[in-house]
Amino acid sequence: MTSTACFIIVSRNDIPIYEAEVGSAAKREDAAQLHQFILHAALDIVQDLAWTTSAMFLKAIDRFNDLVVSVYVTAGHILYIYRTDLHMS
Amino acid sequence: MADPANTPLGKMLLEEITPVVMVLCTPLLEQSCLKNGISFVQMLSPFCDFTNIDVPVRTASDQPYRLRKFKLRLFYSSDIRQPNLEVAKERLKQVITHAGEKIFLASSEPSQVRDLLSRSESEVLPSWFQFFNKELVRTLSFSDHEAFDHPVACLLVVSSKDDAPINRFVDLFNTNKLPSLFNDGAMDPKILKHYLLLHDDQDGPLDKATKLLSEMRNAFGQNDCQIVCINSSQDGQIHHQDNPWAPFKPDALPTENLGGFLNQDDLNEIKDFLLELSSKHIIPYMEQKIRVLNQQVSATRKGFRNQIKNLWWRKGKDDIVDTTNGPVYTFNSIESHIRILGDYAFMLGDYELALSNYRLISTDYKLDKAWKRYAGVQEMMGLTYFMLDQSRKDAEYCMENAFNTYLKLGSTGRQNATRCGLWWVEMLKTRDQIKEAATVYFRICGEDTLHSAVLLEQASFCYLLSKPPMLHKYGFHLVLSGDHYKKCDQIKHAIRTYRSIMFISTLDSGMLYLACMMLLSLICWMSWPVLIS
Repeated sequence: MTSTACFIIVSRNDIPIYEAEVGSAAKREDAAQLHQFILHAALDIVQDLAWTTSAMFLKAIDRFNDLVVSVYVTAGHILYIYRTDLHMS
Repeated sequence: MADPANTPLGKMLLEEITPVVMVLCTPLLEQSCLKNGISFVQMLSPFCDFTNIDVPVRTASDQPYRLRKFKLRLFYSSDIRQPNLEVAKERLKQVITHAGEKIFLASSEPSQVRDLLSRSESEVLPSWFQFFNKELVRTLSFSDHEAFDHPVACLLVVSSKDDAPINRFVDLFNTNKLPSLFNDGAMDPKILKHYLLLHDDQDGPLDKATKLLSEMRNAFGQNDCQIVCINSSQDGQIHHQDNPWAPFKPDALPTENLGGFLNQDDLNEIKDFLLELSSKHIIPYMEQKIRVLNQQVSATRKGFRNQIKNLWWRKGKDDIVDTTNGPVYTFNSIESHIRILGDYAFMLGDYELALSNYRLISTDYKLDKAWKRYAGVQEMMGLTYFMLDQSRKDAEYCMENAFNTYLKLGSTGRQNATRCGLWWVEMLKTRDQIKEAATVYFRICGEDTLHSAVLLEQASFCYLLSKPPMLHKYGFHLVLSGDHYKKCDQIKHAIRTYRSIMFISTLDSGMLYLACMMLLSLICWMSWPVLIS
């Protein structure tokens, strides 16, 4: 099934360290920056949520239309954020 | 929570969901009024809002209560129809463009977000948002599935200069010229009629007019006729310091002296007339109608036996005509009666009665699959729960239900969904559920790019004002909004939104900053001719 996932590693002070686009679907022109914006916007929610739970993997914390954002928080508060399409479980 | 009537949504509802009076008048009368630079409806409108009318009202129960706030909305009969959507959209576009020019010229540097966060909500939000929301809500007036816009009374006005005034009165109520609401069975054409004789003091003495008044009283009934004098000033140079007509004539020139011929006596006569019309005619009429309809409804619908009968033997009723758009209910059907009962109760402040009636027809409409009416009733139920300050969850459930049902109707329900969404958002904001409000703003955005742009900007402000402030989301929605503004050629607004993002200090990370710089320079480069003009 065609799907794209966008993956960003963000350090403590909201500085992105690494960015990758994984998947087989064709990239759309206007959606190029949109992925980055969506993941960046999810930072608000992550920062609050990370302190409330001791779990490291936070699944589906934010949605935008049909895109789901999930995040993995490491002990040093480095965030591995990725965005998937909704039909991927 | 504060008294619902004092919240922004409460105030909006108390202004918009109020009895409508249809005005029918002769051309000579309009001429007399236009000497003052305003039309007849504009002349009376500032005095239709009563903050403490203090009238005892007894609806279904035996206990009277005192009604304090009351407002009438006056419309000419030619205006009582669904507004032309294209014209409304064009007007909104003008407002937005105008606001864009003003802000662009006025702003120096957008303030730091830290400053914005310390200010209160009313200082931060651009003032034209309120106007935009109100206009968007008003594009839906006078639809047939809701009864609060149907006229409660008709005011027939004739000037003392008109010849054969009695005949003129009869002619005015000619059914061909009446709004379509009357003719296609959506509402009962038999409404309260009140006859007014307007005497222009510039035309001569009062005695001819008083004679006419007594003839009118003989023809139409002692209590239903009145006389009011206007234009008593000799030279037409009266300056009204507070200029009450300014909000009703927004396109008036600043040098124009509105109401120049009306002296204080005239204004007092107008105020007294409107007070009497409301307290002695309209409110008692609505009370009476509520009592009659309530008795009818209790006999046919309330009680266990009636409910079972209704559930089982619902199909095959004559008052419901099935068309391709779903069932059409004439004003004679019991469902329309219950809807009128609910709306009148809401307008007179008896929210309990309104709620029980709305609940009653809600199930009926659902069984009949009349989705637009079902959504309309769910919307009113949500608003009634809000005004009663009861059961937040129910209120939100009703509004969500109404919103989704309107959306399911497709293009016919799109505008209604927008209005429902805007009311829902105000409700959430009042209850400090600002993040949910922002998500609803997002859901309201549809195909219309310009409206989506403004709504996205409003959503971004919601995120800014939430506690703790969600600056990333704020920035993101501003980018989306700027993008939409750019697509509609509202370059100045686009630049304004992009500039605001650059001053969010937490975004030194560079990701968002760089993207904005890139987009901003792109826009500046593309629109250089526009900017230097």
